[in-house]
Amino acid sequence: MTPHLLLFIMLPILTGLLLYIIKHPMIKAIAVITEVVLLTMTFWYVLTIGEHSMMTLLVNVPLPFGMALRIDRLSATMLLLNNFLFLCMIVYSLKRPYMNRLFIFLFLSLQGMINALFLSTDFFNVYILIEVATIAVSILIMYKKDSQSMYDGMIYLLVNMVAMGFFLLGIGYLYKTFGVLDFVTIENLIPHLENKRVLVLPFSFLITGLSLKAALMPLFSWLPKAHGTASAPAVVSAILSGIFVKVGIYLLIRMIGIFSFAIDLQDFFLFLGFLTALSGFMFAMAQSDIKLILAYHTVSQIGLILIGISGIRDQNNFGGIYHILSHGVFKSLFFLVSGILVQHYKTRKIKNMTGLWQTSKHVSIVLIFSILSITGAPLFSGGYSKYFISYGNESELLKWLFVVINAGTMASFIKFFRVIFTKPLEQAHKMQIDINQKIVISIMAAVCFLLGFAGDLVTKVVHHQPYTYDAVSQLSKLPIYLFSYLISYLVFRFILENSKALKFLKGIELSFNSINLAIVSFFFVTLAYLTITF
Amino acid sequence: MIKEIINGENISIILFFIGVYGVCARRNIFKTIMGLSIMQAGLILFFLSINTSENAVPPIGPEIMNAISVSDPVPQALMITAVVVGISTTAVSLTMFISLYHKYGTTNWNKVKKKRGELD
Repeated sequence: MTPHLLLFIMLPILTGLLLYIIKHPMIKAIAVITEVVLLTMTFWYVLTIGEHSMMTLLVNVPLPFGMALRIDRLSATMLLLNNFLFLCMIVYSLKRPYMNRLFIFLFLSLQGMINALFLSTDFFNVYILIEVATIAVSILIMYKKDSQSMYDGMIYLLVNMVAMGFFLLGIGYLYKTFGVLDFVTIENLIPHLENKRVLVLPFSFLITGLSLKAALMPLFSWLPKAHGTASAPAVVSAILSGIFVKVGIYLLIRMIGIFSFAIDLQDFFLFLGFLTALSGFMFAMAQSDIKLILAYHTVSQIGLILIGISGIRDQNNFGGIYHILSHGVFKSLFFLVSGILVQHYKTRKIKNMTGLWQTSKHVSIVLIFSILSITGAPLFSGGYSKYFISYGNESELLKWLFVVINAGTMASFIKFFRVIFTKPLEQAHKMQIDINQKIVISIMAAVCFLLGFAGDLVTKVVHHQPYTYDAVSQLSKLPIYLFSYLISYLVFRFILENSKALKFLKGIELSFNSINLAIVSFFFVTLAYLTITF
Repeated sequence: MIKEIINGENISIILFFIGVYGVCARRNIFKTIMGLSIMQAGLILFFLSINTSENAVPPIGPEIMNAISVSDPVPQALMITAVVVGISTTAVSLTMFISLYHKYGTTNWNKVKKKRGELD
C-alpha cells in the first residue's frame, strides 16, 4: 500500500496542533513517533520511486485546472533530508526549556510546509507556502524576545516579503502568457510558444525572488542575521541552514528545468556561484562570533551547490544535489555543537572557547568529524560531493578558483581546531550534556562519515546514478588534502589573520534600504543580461 | 490614446514600483511597511486586470448563459488568498514594529542598526 503524499504535509501540522491543545508531560513522545513515521515513509518512497515520478491529484479534476502533489527523485531526496533533520532536532531538544507547546506547534508546522514545498507542482501554492513559512520562521528567530532578535526577525520578514512580491509579479506575467499555473503544463506549453521573448520578464522576476531565498551573492545580507542570531535556539538555526535555505536552491533547480527549453542561464549562474562561494568564506574568516562564522559559511556552500547544479556535465549536477544532502547534515551538526559550546562557555566569541578536548572528548570528536566534512576531507561527505562538483574541469581558471575556495574554507575553520586543541584557561569542569543530545550528535557525525565512506552506495540507492568514487581513490587524495591544509594554515596564520582587509570585511553590514536596493539592482541586471543574450 | 495607456495593468505596475521605491528609499520603518502594502495592492490589481475585456460578465449568476465572454475566475480566487496572506503579514510586521519601537525607541532603520551593532 502506498502512503498518501498528503500525509507528509498534514501529519506534522496536525500533530503540532494536537500537542498545542493537550497538556500532558509525556505528550512529547507523540512528536517523536510522528517523526519516525514520517522518516519511514520517506525511506519507502526513496526506495520505490526509481526513475519515474508519481502524481497524486488533490481534487478530482485533471491537472491544468486542479491541484496535485508530485514526487520524483529530486523531491524524494529533499524530503529525506528534511524529515531526517527534523527527527534529529526533535529528539535533540526533548529536554530543553524552550521546548514548550508553542514552539512545537511552530516547528512541526514548518516541517509540514517545507515538505509541501518539495511536493508542490503549482506556482501559486509555492508562493503561499513560502509566505506562511516565512512568518513561522521569523517568529522562531525572535523566540527568546531579546533586543537583538527584534531587528533580526524584522529584517528577515520584510526583506523576504519584498522578494516574494517580485516572485508574485512573475507568476502574474506567467499566468497572463499561459493561463495556467502548474509546473507540468507550463513546461509542456513553452516549446509551442511563438515569441519566446515574453518569458524574459517573468523569468527575471521569479529568479530575483528565488535568488534572495537561496541567498546568492548580492542578496545574502539577511542570512547571517537570521541564521546567526543569538536569540534563536540552536535547533532553529540548524533547520534554517540545513534545509530551509535549500528550498530556494530546490526551486531554482525546478525553474531552470521548466524554462530550459527557452532560457539558458548556465554561465550567469556559474558566475554567481563562484562569486557567492568566494565572498561567503571571506566574510566568514573575518567573523569572531561562532554562529556568524557558520552562517557565512552557509553562503559559501550555497555558492558551491550552485556551481554544481549549473555545471556542464551530469556529474557536476549530481555533485550539486549530493552537496545539498551532505551540507544539510554537517551544517546542522555544526549548529548543534555550537549551541552546546555557547551554553558551556557562556560566550559566543570563539576566541574565549578553549580546551574542548579536556572538557569533553565526545563533543571534540563530533566537531572534528564535521570540520573534516566541510573542508572536504577524503572519506567524509563534503569530500565526496566536492569531487563531483569539480569533476572534469578543464579550464585553468576554474581549477584555481576551486583551490582558492577550498583553501578558504580550510583557513576559516582553523579557529575551530583552536577551540579543541588549545589549553584550557582555568580548571576545566565537565560538560553537562543530556543523553539524547549525545545520541543525536553521534548519529549525525556517523552520517557525515557514511555519506563519504559509503557514498557509492548512497549514490546508487538514493540518487540512482552510476557514478562511483570509492574509498580507495578517496584515500589517495589524502596527501593533497593535508598539504593544502598546511598551506592554508600558514597563509592564514601569517598573512591574513591580523590583516586590515579582514577587519574591513567585518565592518561591512548592509542596511535595510541597501538590501532592497540590491534586490532591485539584481532584478534589472538579470533582465538586462537576458534581454541582451536572448 | 491616453485612455489606452491608463489601464489596470500599467497602473498596477506603477503602484508596485512606488512601493519598491518606498522600501528602498525611506528610512522610517513604518513607511517601509506602508510601501510593502502598496506593493501588495499593486500586485492584486495586476492579477485582477490581466486578461480582462470590457464586456465580460462576472462568472456567477444567470447572465452567464447568454454572455459573449465571461471574466476569468481563477485570478480572483487566487487574490482572495493573497489578500488574506498580505493582511496577516502586515499585521505580524506591525506587531514586530511595536515591540521593536519599545526596545530601541526609534523608527529609523539606520539608528536601529547602529544600536543593534552596539549590543553584540
